[in-house]
Amino acid sequence: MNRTGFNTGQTLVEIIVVVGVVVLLVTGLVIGTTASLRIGESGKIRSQAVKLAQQAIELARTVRDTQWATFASMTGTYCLGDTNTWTPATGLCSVNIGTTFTRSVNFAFVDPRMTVEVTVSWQDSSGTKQTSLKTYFTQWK
Amino acid sequence: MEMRNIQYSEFSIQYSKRNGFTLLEILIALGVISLLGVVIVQVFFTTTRSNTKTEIVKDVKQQADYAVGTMTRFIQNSRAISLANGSVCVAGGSTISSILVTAPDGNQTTFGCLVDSGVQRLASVSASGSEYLTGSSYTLGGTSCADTTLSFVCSTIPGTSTSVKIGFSLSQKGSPQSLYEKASTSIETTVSLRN
Repeated sequence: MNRTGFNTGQTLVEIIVVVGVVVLLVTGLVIGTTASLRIGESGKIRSQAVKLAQQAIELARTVRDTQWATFASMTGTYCLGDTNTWTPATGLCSVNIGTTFTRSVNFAFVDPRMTVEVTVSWQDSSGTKQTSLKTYFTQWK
Repeated sequence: MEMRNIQYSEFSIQYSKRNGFTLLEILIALGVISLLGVVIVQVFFTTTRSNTKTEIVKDVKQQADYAVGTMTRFIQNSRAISLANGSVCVAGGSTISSILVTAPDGNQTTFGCLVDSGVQRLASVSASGSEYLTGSSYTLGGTSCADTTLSFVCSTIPGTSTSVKIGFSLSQKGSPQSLYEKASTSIETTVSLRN
C-alpha cells in the first residue's frame, strides 16, 4: 500500500521544512526590499547633506575673500544654521537646518593657512550619520 | 496478461474506498494554499512597488545633483552674475527665480524655470538654445513658473566677493495617491565666484 503511494501524505517534517523555506524566502525578499528603500532614502539625504557642507565651505570662502583679518581671527567651532550666520558654538550644535541636519564648522588657524572642517550630521533609523568636508584656505590676495 | 489486470483491478476495488481526501482535508489544504498565496502575492506587489519607489528616489536625487552641479560649475567660473531682469546683485542679497551668468568667453546663460507640457523644469537658456537640467517627470513645484520652489539669492560685497545661494525642491510630477509613487528632495547650496 505504501509503495503504490495510496494514503501516504507528507510527513510533519516535510511540511515544516516547506513552510520554513517559504518563510525564509519571504523574509529575505522583505528584508531586501526594505534595505533597498532605506539605502535609496539615505543616499538622497546624504546628497542634501553634502550640498549643505559645500555651502558652508563657500560661505567660509566668502568670509575669507571679504576680509582676511576677520577670517584669520575665527577659531574653534561655529554652528552655521538655516540663516547662514556664524554662531560660536557653546558645546555641541543642535539641529539647525530644517528639522533634520546639524551643521558645525571648525576653524583652526596655523599661519599661513586656515583649516576649515564642516560636519553635517543627521539622525536616521540606524543612528547618527554624518558627512564632513575639510579644506585649507590661505591669504592669496 | 489478462490475469494480472484482473488481479490489479480487484486490488484497486478492495482499497479504493480508502483513497482520496476527506472534505476537511481539502478545506484545510485550500485554506493553507490561499493563505500562502495571499502572502506571496502581497510580498510580490510590495517588492515591485518598493522598487518603483527606490527608482524614483534615486532619479530625483540624481537629477537634483546634476542640476546643482551644472549650475555650480557655471557660476563658479563665471565672470559676472546679474539678475535675469538685468539688475545687478546687491549687498544684502536679492531673491529672484532666475539668474543671468556671464561666462569667461562673454556668452550669457540664464538659469531658471521653463514650463514644458505642464511641468516646471529647471533649464539653462543661452543664445544657442535651451537645455533642460531636470527630467520631464519631475517638477519644481507650484502651478506655474511664477510660483515654483526655485530661488536664487545673489549677494555681493563690492570689490571682494559675490555669492549665489541656490535653493529648490524637486518632486515627481502629478499628485499620486500612493506613497510608493512619491519622491521629493530639497537642495540648498551656495556658490561663490572665483573671479
